[in-house]
Parts: sequence; structure tokens; C-alpha cells
Amino acid sequence: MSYALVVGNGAAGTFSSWLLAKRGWEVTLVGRGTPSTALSTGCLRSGPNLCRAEISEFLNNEKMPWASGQREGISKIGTSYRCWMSPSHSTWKEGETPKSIAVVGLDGHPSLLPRVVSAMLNGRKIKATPFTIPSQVPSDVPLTSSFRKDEAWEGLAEELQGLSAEAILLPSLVGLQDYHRLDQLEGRCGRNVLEAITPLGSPGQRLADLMLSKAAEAGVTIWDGRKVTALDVENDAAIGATVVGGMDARHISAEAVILATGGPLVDGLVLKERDVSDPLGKFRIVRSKFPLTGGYDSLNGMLINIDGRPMVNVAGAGDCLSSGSREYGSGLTEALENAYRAVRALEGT
Amino acid sequence: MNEGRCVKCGSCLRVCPVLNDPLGEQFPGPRTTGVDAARFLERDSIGQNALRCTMCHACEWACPSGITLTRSMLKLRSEMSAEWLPGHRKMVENITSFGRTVSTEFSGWVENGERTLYFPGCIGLGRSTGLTLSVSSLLTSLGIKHDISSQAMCCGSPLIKIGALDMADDLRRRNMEVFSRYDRVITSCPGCTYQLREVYGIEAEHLIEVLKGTDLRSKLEGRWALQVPCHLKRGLSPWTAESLASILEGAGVSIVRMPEEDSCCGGGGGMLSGFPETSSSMAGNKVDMYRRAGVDGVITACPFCSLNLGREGIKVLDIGEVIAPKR
Repeated sequence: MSYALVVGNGAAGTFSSWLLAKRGWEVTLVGRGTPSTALSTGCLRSGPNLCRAEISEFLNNEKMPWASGQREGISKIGTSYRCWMSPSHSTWKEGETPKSIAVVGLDGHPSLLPRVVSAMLNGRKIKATPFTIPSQVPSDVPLTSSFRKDEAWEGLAEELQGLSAEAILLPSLVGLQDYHRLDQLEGRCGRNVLEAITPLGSPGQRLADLMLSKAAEAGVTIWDGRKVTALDVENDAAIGATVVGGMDARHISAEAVILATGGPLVDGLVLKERDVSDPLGKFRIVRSKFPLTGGYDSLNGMLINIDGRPMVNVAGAGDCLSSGSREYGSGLTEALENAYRAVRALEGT
Repeated sequence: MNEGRCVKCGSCLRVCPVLNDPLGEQFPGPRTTGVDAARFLERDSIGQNALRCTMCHACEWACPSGITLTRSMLKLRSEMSAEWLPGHRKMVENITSFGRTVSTEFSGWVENGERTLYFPGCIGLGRSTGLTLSVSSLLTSLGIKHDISSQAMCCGSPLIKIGALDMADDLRRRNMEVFSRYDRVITSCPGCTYQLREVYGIEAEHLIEVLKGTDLRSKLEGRWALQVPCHLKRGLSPWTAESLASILEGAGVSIVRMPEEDSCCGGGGGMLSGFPETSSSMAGNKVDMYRRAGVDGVITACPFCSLNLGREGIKVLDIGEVIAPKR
């Protein structure tokens, strides 16, 4: 059994851990903080060219079925959203736009503004009607905790009873544990229930939770809330790392390392003014004239050390790589693809 | 402080156990108190609702930018000019008159001049004395001779939580005289342990750290869930928090793991004394969850968790009460 250390708890870190564990590695995943994955819309905008089957298996979850192909949905501000893969209630097959949509918001909560979204949809010739239901949830408080209990869903179903539209657009209300409630609601109302595409909310968190749970199920040891503060390197190979959590620190040995620490916004690369640098002080960074676009240099998946030589057993994946374009919405597919490349690089195939 | 790194993603709001409680809506939230308040000159007038936080560190764990929200909130608390809440005033009066946050019910002092001090903390000496006696006899049965000193006072952690830094420092100086007579300090409260390490610079050990690696057996029947204390997992050490489960499982206690086991019970950060109704609501929700799981009770490693959850009518035991050395 070979020991791998994966650093980063987002899409790239969890997917590479999962792949390694499936291939017989003993994997420890170290990561702290909410990853960018959890801040995303929880959908894959573009279809992967690589490892499509592995991605489908990785994301497969009985609680939250996915839909893929040419998909279209509505964002929380009423704009059109196109993607390749989304949770089933987030989108419809392109060209099958509902004839009429009731846009449901919660009174006083900014999660979905029914009049604004309806006006946007009407402007696109989709018949939309705003509908506001009473709510006590303050604007700053996330909605998921108010929709954990059966009574809240009973109340919602009753409120929606009289609506005549073909589909009902709701704000994002459910975490992974409660996703099935959207199916139940659909059954009760007899209409399509759609969830507005929502970044910085429960859809992204759901995806991150799903990915982490899949890694754990595959046998990956998850060291959550912890951070790698130093990497021990000998002869262009990593041999171990120092991990800090709370007031405690541990040393861990590793025969292979994948850095999937994320970009400068998520405590991965260090951001100083407009420049990024390596917090571990070991690897070469490719800088760019554009802010936030630089990252680790790599050759065939392996990181390059500060002396310019490729590492023997340290690969990079996800947003910390210089290849990361960080264009709006492109990151998830790219992160998954280069996590796959990183694993292949470590296995020398 | 590093509040400037905030990207306004709202991750802290999603995980805040107070904001997510039906009674928690008056709390301005971790982003307001931990990030925004630091930037405003009028922060001293933020008002008592800013104290509606249990200092559970969940926001800090969730923050993608690594902002030390808890530190920032504690700083805010030390700069606030709001009047003390009745519960907090009572606590300060108690400390002023006899050195502990709650009246001392414990009488089993051991002052034999041993080299190890067991420091049960105010709740262990005032509310959960059975727990303190259990831990003491467990330590003895493990061959760890120890004192329980009547001269050791409150660690000062609750005072820091209400911004009374000078009073906390006074306690530290008095306690350091007591601690200087010992080579080893063992605690059963994660809050005390954190305080002794962070503020006193003493390598105090939580009971779990003492138990790790010893041969233990369960004294319990039935199926038990865990309440993983916030200050243990997110304050002291996530590895030590993991040991809570592994020690119990190793001793043969039947443990039912659940994802919410590490969410806050509502007992910390001055909430229990300042806003008891919110503490009770948060604990009530956790107890409902434990009941749904059909367990016989909950095992924890924190006197505040024991006290707060126990008040909602579920059986709560400390790790020190449920295991014994193997014979």
C-alpha cells in the first residue's frame, strides 16, 4: 500500500483522493475552510473531455440525481443559465422551456426576488408570475435551516396549492440531506419544481458535501479543519508534511502528494497586492499580468520546484495551477479534469 | 487581524449554529461581529446582541479566507460599551467574591502536595461535581496521583468572553502561583484547557489526551451518541476530538456516529449565562436529533455540553464517567 497526501478539500482534492483510494492508495486528505466548489452554483458548466465516466461515478448520489446534456435553468436574478450537468431540479433540457412559471419568493428574504425574476423572464417571452409567501426568516439568515422540518414543507405545499403555472421556481432551500423534499413537493403540487441557480448558497455547499462524503466512503482519511504548513522535500521528492489543526500539529509521511489548495481567494496561494506566491516556498509560480490568474508551474502534471526541476512525486490539481483560467464558471470541470491528470501523473501512466 | 480578506461569500452565515436556530435571529451574525464591526469607529455601540455567539469556531472553520473570526469577535467584546447582561453581571460578582463563576459545591479537595494537579474548572466544582469525582477516581485508578486544589480559581475564559480582560489577567496571576507548584495540569473542560494553553502558556492536558493509549473498558450498556465539544474539536485539536470516539470505541462503548455530532450545543461563549433561552433552544434541537436517532444518551467531554444538553432531558455522561482501566 502506498501513502498519498492530498491537500485541499474542494473538487480537485476530493476527486483526486477518491481516484487514488479506488486505485488502492492509502490517502489522507487535509483541507480547511469552505472551498470554491462550495461557492459555485453546484453545476458543471462545460462537459469534460476527459474521464467522463469517472466524474459521473464520483458525483452519483441517490439523494440528489443529476441531469446532463444541453441543460438550461434560471438564475436567482432571472438570467438564463446554461450548463452541461446539474442537479435534476435545477435545469431543464434545452428547448423544453416551461410554458409558464410561477416565481416564488419568501417575503423579506433576498434569496429569490419574484418580481425582478418574473420581469426578466417576461422580457424573454416566458410567461412568469411573481408569488410571495409569508416568511419570518431575516435577510441575512440562510434558508436551509428553516426548511429542515416536515412542517415547513407542509406549509410551503399548501401555499403553492393554488398556483396554475406549469413550473414553480423556488429559491435554493435544501442541503444534500433534504434534496428529496423537492421530489416530494413536486409530487404534492403536480407541477415541475425548479430550483433557481444560486451561487454562494446551498447548491455549491451540497456539491462540496457530496464530494467529501464520496471520498470518505472510498476510504480516504479526512483531516478537516487542518492545514499543511510545511512540506518536507528531499531530492526533488516530497517525503512528508507538517499539518496544523487548532493548537495542535502533526507530522505525516507521504510517498506522493497532490496539491489542490485552490487559488488566492480561498487561502491557497498567497495573494500580495496583485501577485500570487507559494505559501510553502517550494515551487515555481507562473505569474501573469492579470491579477488572480497566476499559479503553480507544472510539467506533465508534476509541479516544478524553485530550482526549475520537476518534482518526482508532487502533482498539482485545480485552481492552484497556472493553467487555471479562473474564468467565470469554468473552474469545476477543469479542476476535475486536472485532478485526473494529477493522479495519472503520480501513477506514471 | 485579517478581516480584510473577507470575500463576502456567506459561508460563515451558513454554518453559524446561532443564526440557524429559531431564536438566533437577533444575533447580527459572524460576518457583522467578526468582520464588519472591526472596521467601524462606532463599534463600541454595537449592543448586547453581538454577544449572542457561543464562540464555537464554526464560522472560522468555514471561512475560505482563513479569517480569525473568533479572535476578532473577542476583540470586539473587549471594546464594547454595552452594559453587562444580568447573567454576566452575576458571574462577575461571583468571581469577585469567591473566585469562581458559580458557587462551589465540591468538597473533595485533595491537597497532598502531589506533582499533578487536576483542574476541574468552575462547572466541574459547582454544577457537575459527580463528573469531577469520577474523573478523579479514574485518574487514581490509572496510577496518576493528583491534587484538586481549593486555591485554584476560575481560569478566566468566561471573563475574556465578556471582554473583562483585566479581571481575567488578575485571575491568571493568582492561578499561576498555584500552578507553579505542579509539574502537570490535567483538565476535563476544553474551555479551561484552551485558556491555560493559549493565555497561561501551560501545556495543560485534557482528560482525553491522558487516556489515549491506555487499556480501557466500558462501564456502559446501550447505544450512545457523541456531543463533540466545539472548543475541543475546533479550539484545541481536531485530532484530540477524533480520539473521543476512538477511545470510547476501543473500550467497547457502542457509539452511533452522526454528522451533526460536532455542531454546537449552545452552551459556550457566555450564551448559557447571558441568553439562557437561546442556549436552551439550541440544546433542545440537538436533543430532538439525538432522540430521533434512538440512542440511550450522549457522551461528551465538556462540562458545559453536559450541563446544557442534560437540562433538555436527555442522559448525558462525560467520557470520564463511562470508562475504567482494563484489569
